Amino acid sequence: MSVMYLEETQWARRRFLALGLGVIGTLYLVAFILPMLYMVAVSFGETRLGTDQFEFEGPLAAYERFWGSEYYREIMFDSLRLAFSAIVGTIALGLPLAYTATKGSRWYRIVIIVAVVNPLFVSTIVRSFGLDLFLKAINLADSFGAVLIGTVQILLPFMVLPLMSGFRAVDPLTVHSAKTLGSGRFRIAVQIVLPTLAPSLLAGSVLVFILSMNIFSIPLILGRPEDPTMALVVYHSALAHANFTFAAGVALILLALALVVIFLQGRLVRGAVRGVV
Amino acid sequence: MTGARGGDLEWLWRLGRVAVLTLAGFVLVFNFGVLLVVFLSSLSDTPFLVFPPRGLTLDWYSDLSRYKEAITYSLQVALVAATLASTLGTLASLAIVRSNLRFKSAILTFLLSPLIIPSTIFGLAVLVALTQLGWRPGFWPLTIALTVHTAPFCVRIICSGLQNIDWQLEAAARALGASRRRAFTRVILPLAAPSIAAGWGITFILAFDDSSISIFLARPTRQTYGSQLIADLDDRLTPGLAAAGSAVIVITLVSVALLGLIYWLQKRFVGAGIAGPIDGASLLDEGRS
Repeated sequence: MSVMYLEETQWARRRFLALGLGVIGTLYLVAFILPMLYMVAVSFGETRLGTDQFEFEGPLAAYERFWGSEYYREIMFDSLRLAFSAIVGTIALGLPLAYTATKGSRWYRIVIIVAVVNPLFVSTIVRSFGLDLFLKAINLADSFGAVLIGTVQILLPFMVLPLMSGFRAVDPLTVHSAKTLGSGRFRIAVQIVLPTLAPSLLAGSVLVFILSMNIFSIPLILGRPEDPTMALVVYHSALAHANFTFAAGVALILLALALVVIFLQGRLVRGAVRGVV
Repeated sequence: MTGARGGDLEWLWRLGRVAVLTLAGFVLVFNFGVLLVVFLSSLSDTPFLVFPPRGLTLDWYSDLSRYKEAITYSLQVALVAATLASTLGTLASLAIVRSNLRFKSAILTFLLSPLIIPSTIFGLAVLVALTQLGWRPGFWPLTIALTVHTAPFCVRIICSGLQNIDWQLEAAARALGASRRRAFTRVILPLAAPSIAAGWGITFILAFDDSSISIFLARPTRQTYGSQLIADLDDRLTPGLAAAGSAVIVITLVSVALLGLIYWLQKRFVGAGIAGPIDGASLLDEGRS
C-alpha cells in the first residue's frame, strides 16, 4: 500500500514540477529568446526605417556603418576607455573596502556594506541627477571625469561583493602556516591571497565592464552630448531616429563584446584553477 | 600574533586601517550626499534646477501631479512584475531543488541567462519584436519584459532558500497523515516564505527603479517615473523633477528597509541566510544591470 501511495505522489509531483518549469520556460521563449532572435534578424535587415542618411546598403549595412566610420569607432574606443577606467576605479576603491569588510569587526562590515551597496537600490537616474547637480556646483560636470565618477559610484557594489566572497575564501590556516614558516606580509599577499582572490577580481571586472558599457542613463545625464557612449548611440538611434536596424546592430556589437569578455573570463578562471592544482 | 617581523611596520598597518575607514566614510557620505543634493535642490524657488538651492519653498511638491501618475504607474508595473516573477520563480525553484531531473544545472543556467543580457539591449530587443509583430508598447509588454529581466534574481534567491529547508519535515508531515497539499501549505510554504518574500522585494525594487527597459516599452503618454525623468531631461529641468526624485528616494528607502526587516526576521527565526551558494551560478554571480 505504501509503495502505491509513493508512486502516486511521485507522479503527481513530477507533473506539478514539470508544469512549473514549463510555464517559466514558455515565458522565456516568448519574451526573451524570440525578441533576441528578432533583434538579430532586424540588424541584418533593410534600412527602411529611420531618417538617417545611409551610405551603406545591403544586409550588413548597420555593421559596415559602425566599423566603416571614424566617428563610431572613436565612440567605441571611448566606451572601452570608460569601461577600463571604471574597472581600475572600482578595484582601487573596492580592494581595501572589501578587505576591511571581511576581516574587520561586525561594525566595520555593516558600515562598509551599507556605504557600498546602497546604490543598488536607489534609482540610478535620481542618483545621477544629484551627482550632476553637485558636480555643476563645483564646475566638474559634463566631462569624462563626471561620467567616470557616476559609473564608479553605481558599479562599486558589483566589485565589492565578489571581492568580499573572495577574501572570505582565503584559508586562514594557509596564511598562518606561511607566517610560521617565515613569510612576510608582502609575500603572503602575492603568493596566497592574490591567487585566491583572482577569480573574484575577474568576476567583478567582467560585471563592471559589461554594465559600464551598457548603462545609458549615466552618460546621458552626466556626459557631454557631443561624445556619447555606445549605449547612448543605441538609445538615440532607436528612439530619436527610429532607426532600429542600426540600433540593433550596435546593441549586438555590445552584446558580442560582453560575451567575448565572459568567455575569456571562463577560460582564465579555468586556467588559473588548473595552474594552482 | 603578527610577530617580530611585522612589528616595525605596525604603524603602517594602523595607518592603513584608518585610511580604509576614512574611505568607507567618504563613500557612505558621498552616496547618501548625492541623494541629499536631490532633496535640497527640490526646495529651490527658482524656475530652474540648481544646487545649492536659492530661496526656500515647498511649492514644487504641490506640483507633483505630473509625476504622481508616473510613480503610480511604476508601482503598478513593479507590483505585477514582482508577483509574476516570484510566483514563477518559486515554481521553477521547486522543480530544480526537489525533482530528480537530468541536466539540472543546464536548466538553472538557462533560467539565469537573462542576467547576461544588459537591460538596454533587452528593452530594445522587445521593442523591435513588438514592432515587427505589429503590436504596440504598453503595460503588458513592459510588465512581462521586466518579469523576465528580474526573474533570475528570484530564482537565485528562492533556490538557495529552498535548499536550506529540511525536506524531511515534509516527509514527516506526510507520514503523520497530512495530504500533499496540506504538507506543502502548512509546512513547506511557511519555511520558504522568507526567501520568496525577499525575492519578491528585490524584484519589486529592481522593476520600480527601472528606466532602461521602460524607456523603450512605455508609451509616450503613459510613462514610468524613470522614463518620464529621462523624457523631461531636455525641456523640464525644474526643481519639480528633484521633488519627484525625492519622492522616489523615500519610496525605495522604505522598501529597502522592509526588505532588510524580512532578511533580519528570517535570520533570527529561521536561521538560514538567503544568500547561500547554489551550483551552476558562479558565472552569473551577483549580476544585475
